[in-house]
Amino acid sequence: MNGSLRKNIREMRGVSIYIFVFMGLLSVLAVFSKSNSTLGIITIMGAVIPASSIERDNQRGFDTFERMLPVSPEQVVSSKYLLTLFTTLMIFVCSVLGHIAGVLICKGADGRFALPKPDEVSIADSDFLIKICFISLITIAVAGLLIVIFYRFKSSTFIRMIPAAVCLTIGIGCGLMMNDDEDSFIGPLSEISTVVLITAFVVCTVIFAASYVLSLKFYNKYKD
Amino acid sequence: MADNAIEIKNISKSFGKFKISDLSLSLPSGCIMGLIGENGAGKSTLIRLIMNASNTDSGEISVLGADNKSEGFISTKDDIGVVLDMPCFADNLKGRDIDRLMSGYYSRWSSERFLSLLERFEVDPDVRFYKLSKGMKMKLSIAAALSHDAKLLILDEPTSGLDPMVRDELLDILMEFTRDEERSVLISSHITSDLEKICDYIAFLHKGRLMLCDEKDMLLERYSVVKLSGQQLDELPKDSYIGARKGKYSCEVLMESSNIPEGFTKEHTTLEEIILFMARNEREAV
Repeated sequence: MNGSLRKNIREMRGVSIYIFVFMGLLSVLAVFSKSNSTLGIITIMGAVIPASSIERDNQRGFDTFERMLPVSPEQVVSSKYLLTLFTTLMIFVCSVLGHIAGVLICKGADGRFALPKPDEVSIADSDFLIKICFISLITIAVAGLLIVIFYRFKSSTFIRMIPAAVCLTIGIGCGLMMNDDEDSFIGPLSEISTVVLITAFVVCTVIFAASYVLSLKFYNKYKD
Repeated sequence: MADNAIEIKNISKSFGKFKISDLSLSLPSGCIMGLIGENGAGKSTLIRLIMNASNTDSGEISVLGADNKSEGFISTKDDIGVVLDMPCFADNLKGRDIDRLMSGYYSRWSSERFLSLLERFEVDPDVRFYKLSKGMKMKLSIAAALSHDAKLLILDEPTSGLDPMVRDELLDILMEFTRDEERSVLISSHITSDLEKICDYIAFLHKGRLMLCDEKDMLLERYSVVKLSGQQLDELPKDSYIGARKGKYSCEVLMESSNIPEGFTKEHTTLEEIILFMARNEREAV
């Protein structure tokens, strides 16, 4: 493992554990409330981790120091993208585990404590799985956009606000899309078909790959 | 082995109002060069340019024989130890974590050497970075730069924030480091007395311009401070001295030793005096 990736994982380990646990708990609550709208927060959490890693490096001057170490630009930039994939994967796994835990609690409670009845919840809930996959793909694409913005503009206060706004808007948007309530504001999007999921996979992968190429270009061009 | 550890040819760089223009200098292998200059003179910028952490507008830089813009320079960096003026490791890392982290960057990283240096500097490897004092953080960064068998050390203000004992120890380590003739050091510092102790060459930067770059002993031999009265100073042609300092009862001028007129007594000068006189002269000329 190259130094950049090792550094990113080591530094983010402490913060990420809290986020992963939080996501797991959120998934449990999603089962209890029979609504997946809270899963929109995955986008915010998943995209913020890699972006904040770049921001921190910039703030304390580690990015300048790292440019003086025997590591290629490709390794530095790709480590941020690998961190994105890793955190998104971890959030995905924690959400699925949270969902399983929520379903098991509901089955154990057997309709008590105002929890959903055992026949109303299922571990193999395809609707949940499709939604969590969809939102993970959105997360990867948003993170890719944020990383490009940081590599291009560094971290002036104004620039820091743009990613935060983008992240929050898309996160809330995803939350609304996940809303299972029939009277919800965006009712038609509450059900995500496999076609939509495949399209999202292609689009998000292209955005992520393009973002990597651009970030690498900006990393080499905008050093000061 | 390249004759020069660092060779800079006519580099220029500007951002905003700051400008480094047409700067050239060489650091011969096996030598220690001190980079002196006031805040904002361009010392840190020059170090960033040398390490290709900042893009030059024009000019060429070669480090340990490799063009710093070539792809091969990444592997050359394996032979370079760097300490920046602001230690920049993450707050939650301990010395032991930094050991593991740096081993991912340098192919010849020695944990044994790193931990023994931390012990020598009395830095606890199990304390988190944010709990260390500024001096301790700097010691840790210096230990990191010395733990991978580097051939060139580039140190930006490494002695700032260190107590005199540790500063002295660091200077000893640097001199020990250059006993091997293949090893060189470029060190920037405000503390001219430190540089005077260890440097073979001195480069003086002022507002992005290289005012002088020469062997330290030559400099100390070439320049002298002459004490004289106000009347004598008025009688001296202005182009015969480099800078003057007027006191209440007497004046001092910095002159080239070979230009001192008969009848004047020359005094041994220090690096600090040479730099101060030159900087003062530049300020007055503006």
